[in-house]
Amino acid sequence: MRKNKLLLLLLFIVPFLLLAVFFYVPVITVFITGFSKDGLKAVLADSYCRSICLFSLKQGALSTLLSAAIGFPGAYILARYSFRGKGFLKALITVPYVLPPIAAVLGIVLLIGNNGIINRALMALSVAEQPPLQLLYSLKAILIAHTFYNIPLFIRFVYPVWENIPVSMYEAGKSLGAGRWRLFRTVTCPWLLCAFIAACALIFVLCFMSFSIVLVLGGNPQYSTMEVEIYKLARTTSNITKACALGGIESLITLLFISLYTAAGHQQNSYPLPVGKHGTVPAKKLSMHHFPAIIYIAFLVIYVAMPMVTIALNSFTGKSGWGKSGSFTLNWYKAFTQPNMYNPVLNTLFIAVSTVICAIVLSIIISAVISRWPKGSFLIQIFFFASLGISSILLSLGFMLTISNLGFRPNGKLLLIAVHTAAVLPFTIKAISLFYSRINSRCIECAQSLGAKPLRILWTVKLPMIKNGIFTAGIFAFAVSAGEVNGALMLAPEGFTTMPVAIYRLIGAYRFYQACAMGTVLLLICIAAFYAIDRLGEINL
Amino acid sequence: MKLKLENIKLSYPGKFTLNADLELNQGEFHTFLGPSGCGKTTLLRIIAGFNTPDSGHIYLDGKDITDLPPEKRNISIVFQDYALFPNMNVEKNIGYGPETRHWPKDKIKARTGELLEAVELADYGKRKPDTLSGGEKQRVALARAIAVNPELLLLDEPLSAADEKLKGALKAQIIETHRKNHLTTIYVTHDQEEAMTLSDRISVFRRGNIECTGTPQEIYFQPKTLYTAKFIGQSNILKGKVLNIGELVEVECQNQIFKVQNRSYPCSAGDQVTLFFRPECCTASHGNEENILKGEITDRTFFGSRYTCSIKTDCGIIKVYDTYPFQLQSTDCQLAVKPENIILFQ
Amino acid sequence: MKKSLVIIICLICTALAFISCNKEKASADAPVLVVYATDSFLSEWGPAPVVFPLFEEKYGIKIEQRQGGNAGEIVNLAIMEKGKQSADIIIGVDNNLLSTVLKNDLFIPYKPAGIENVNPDLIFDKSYHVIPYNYSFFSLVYDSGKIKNPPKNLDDLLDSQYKKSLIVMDPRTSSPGLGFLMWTIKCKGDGYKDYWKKLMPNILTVSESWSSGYGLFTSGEAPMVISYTTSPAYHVEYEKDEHIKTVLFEEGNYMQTEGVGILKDAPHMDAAKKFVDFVLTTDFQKALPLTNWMYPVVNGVPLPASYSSAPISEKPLLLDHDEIDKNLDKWLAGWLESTLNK
Repeated sequence: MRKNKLLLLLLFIVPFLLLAVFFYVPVITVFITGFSKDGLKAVLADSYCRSICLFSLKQGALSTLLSAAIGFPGAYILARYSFRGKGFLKALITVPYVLPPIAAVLGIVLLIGNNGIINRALMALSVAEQPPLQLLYSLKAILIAHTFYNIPLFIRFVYPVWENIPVSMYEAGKSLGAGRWRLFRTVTCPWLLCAFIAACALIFVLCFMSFSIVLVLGGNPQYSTMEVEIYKLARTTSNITKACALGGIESLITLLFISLYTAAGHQQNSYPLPVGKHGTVPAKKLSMHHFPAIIYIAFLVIYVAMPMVTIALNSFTGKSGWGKSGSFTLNWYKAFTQPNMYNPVLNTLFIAVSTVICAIVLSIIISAVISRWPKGSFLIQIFFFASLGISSILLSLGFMLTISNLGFRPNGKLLLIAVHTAAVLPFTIKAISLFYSRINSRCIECAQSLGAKPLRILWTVKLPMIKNGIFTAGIFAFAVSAGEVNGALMLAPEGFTTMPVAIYRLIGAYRFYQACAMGTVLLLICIAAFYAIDRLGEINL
Repeated sequence: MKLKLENIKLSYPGKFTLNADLELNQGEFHTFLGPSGCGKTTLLRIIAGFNTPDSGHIYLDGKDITDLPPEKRNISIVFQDYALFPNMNVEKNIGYGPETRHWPKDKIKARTGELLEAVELADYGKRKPDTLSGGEKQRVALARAIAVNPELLLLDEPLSAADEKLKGALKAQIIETHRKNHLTTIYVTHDQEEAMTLSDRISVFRRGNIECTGTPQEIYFQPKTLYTAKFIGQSNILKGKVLNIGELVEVECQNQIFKVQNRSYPCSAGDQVTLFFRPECCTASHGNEENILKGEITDRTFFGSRYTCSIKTDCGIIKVYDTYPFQLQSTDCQLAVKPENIILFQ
Repeated sequence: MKKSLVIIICLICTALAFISCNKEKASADAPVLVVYATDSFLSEWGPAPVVFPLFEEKYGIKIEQRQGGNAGEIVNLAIMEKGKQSADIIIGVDNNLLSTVLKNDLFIPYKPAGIENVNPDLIFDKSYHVIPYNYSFFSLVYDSGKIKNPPKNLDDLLDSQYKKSLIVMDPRTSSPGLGFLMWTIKCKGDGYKDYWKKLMPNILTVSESWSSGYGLFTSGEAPMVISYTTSPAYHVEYEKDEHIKTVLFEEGNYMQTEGVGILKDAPHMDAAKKFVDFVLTTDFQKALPLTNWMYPVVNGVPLPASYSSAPISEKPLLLDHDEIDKNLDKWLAGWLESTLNK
């Protein structure tokens, strides 16, 4: 038994080093280089910095509340109803994660912008001169864009927990005289509290650190987050200290919320699972008289899908202006026969699949460690989750510094996979440890008594029991890796472009519609991957 | 000698220390009996290899297995919640041990089929555990445990989750399995009836220590400690003082002199002692026996084959079993206990 | 059996990792040039895929590209790496960064062969630390289908008929954004703050980069955008579309020039110098209009036909780099102040 513990510790060194090297070292490098008391004073004294900070908090909070409020019914519907196409819906709502921010922004613009589809339709119908729907370039637009990303995230976090509330809870409540509303208040809501908090904490962090969405869709420098300010400050070497100071403050705030996220998730793991095949509330079949639910699903599909559909539609446009003077063309898709178009596709797949494999393996190791040393699990999780809360700009800076300090240039592809894995671990660890912590230790002991060695137990008993966690982790890992831009831009070796980078480059080279084509392919690949993974997960339940 | 536990010690800070010395014979059905939290399950787990003792040795067939990991001990265990592998069907569950040991495929198939027949689940091979009832799961768990012909079979309170009817069926299954396979079995329970009916020998546990070990008859009729005596069956307990010691010990209890044959410890005159005898050893007196007690019947409960009577005497309330032909009819009665049926404890 | 399978797979993976690792560090024997360049230069649709092979073939020197993002980020990195950098040259240093690179003593001065073919006005660094290779002008680019009479100067732009019609970029995060700010400062002096206050109602949005801003323009969000005089050429060349046009303002257009510099202590000094020479050759220069969308600095390089839609300004505007260095922070703060109170 001691040998097993030792082996586990040795294995744990791999993910530990991964994060230490690819995250903590760059971050510490940047802060050592830049942080100073003067910088901190300068930031705190600057009234613009203070107002930026407040605005970041404000829009973060608003976005979170909106996402939660709008997402809540969605979680209910997915938890309690079954309908054809549910699997596809689940895959669809995960896809926004894959979109690099610029593509999401443009998609939203194409949908609700002044020249967007909705406005053009409305103008055609009402013969108005000016676009009637002025949603963009304001705080409203920022919130809309944030919710586009985060309603699906909220739903995906909350609905599995809702689905798995043991039916015995409700039956006990009913036998004690509680009606539907009371049951909702006293059974469902407390049960969901942890998942709710975890989802909100994560969404807050993501919105708080939002960058290009805020800038483009806000339309005005007053709508500026701390991340933007750090970017601006970091561009000139004389302001690095200020940038680091601001980054430090930003990180403190995000770290707070990440701790909340971790603690909530931790607490969630201790909730009992439903027992037996009929332990959960059976799902109702969705039918025509569930009117509100149908409307909501339609709204969700449109909201989430439309930006992506508009991107797809634009990919078939030959000239500027879809519909008007534009012409239908397949040119941009024909361009995929060129290496500069198909290489990014292959590269993205390569990196994403590698990331998925690495992240899953490492997450299993980490989950095993967490279950062995439950007292340290909170700290271990924070160690891996902190990467969510550090400004990617500072991280890039730190990376560049670290690499230059190294003297030699490590293999770019491996580096990129490592960076992606580190970025993805917060999601995969959560998904897998949820199931890992619930493995019945008696099964393991029986297997041991029947002569199985630890590796065999892992393969034949443990892995099948955490299968669902592995599939969920795979989905998130694929999504984040496929859509990741910063690392791919910075670290990949020459000639190695991923699809998000290609999209950026195409837009930067005037090739807007070709970028749409690349974006569409990215979306299709991801929908297919998510759908496949989801289905595999369900079939083998 | 199949299993020897030598000086096993495991301490629980804040609670008690587990202490065990025990020897088991080949083919024996041995029960660990005791209330919850007395260490019997822990000792079982130590034997299986899931817990490590602070000190001591375990010998299996003369070999020291103390430092051996569980997967190398060839000791099978069946848990209270059955712990069947949820992702495998019944066949695969039962075949897990043989597969791990790389038995040839046809041998595995044969053995699995044989066991399914034995536990009367012949058509259940392809079913998944979550479709089985409690009793079916228990039988599969049992089959899985014995598939590899283990050296030792451990059963951790396997019947506590079962209802009465199921208990009977499962008990029969366990007895059948033990008889056919001649497996040395250790059975853990808090239920004395199970212990008495199933075991060759019983070890009674108390706060981490084995109070005494013996056959059900020895434990019942000649318990070595008062705790054991009180734990099993019904008992009458009286407190008295030793008057003098001769061939029989004379003990005085509330002006009543008892002549006692069995002593659990060397006592001397003047000692305060406890007297113990079973209700069924108390009979209606004809007037010419030793140890005659006079008293009043305060309660009489009919059990079908007997009446259980509570009789108020000078020494306290005495429980008596009155069987057919019923002799304790009237309110006032006289009881007699033979000296060889009384045990004297400290 | 499964265990040995796992071990074999691990060994294969490690081997693969090693192989691909070594491939990068190999060919240390063949002469090499390590390049830092902007992402737009290195992009598959930028100049690098065209010009780098030409260089490699001509001189037999292999080019190793290092990406660095935009010009500002690369210069920052080079400054932080000073003394231990592995790169030889930086491609893409624009005139706004000149004061930074000179202050930090990043480059060595080098006068390449062929410099006499370059218009002296375009040599923005008279000390020859940064050698220009292309230039362009920021300008107002508009959709002629929607805007019938475009503004002719900065003040025209303030007209109320252009309400919410203009897309600009944030000068803190984007070169054209900074360029336009400088433009207003050059023309208005301290009155730039007032100008911007008055301009705000006409601004639809301040985007963070040229890419997203021009993307919004392309999707028709606003009919005007701050871009380059060369932008219409793309649409003519690749989309056969002539309705995107640009305007040369009466007071002049602000210029952007990009250059290349040789880093101090460059490990491959010889190769670096050869590259800078190469930059001013026709091979390199003629690739620029259709990949970098900028005018070549060398006289006499033929421009493609589509460039007839990309007029060259007679009045290039430029702020002195020392002045920029002294006042940049103040100007940015001033811009922020003017635009905040919308």
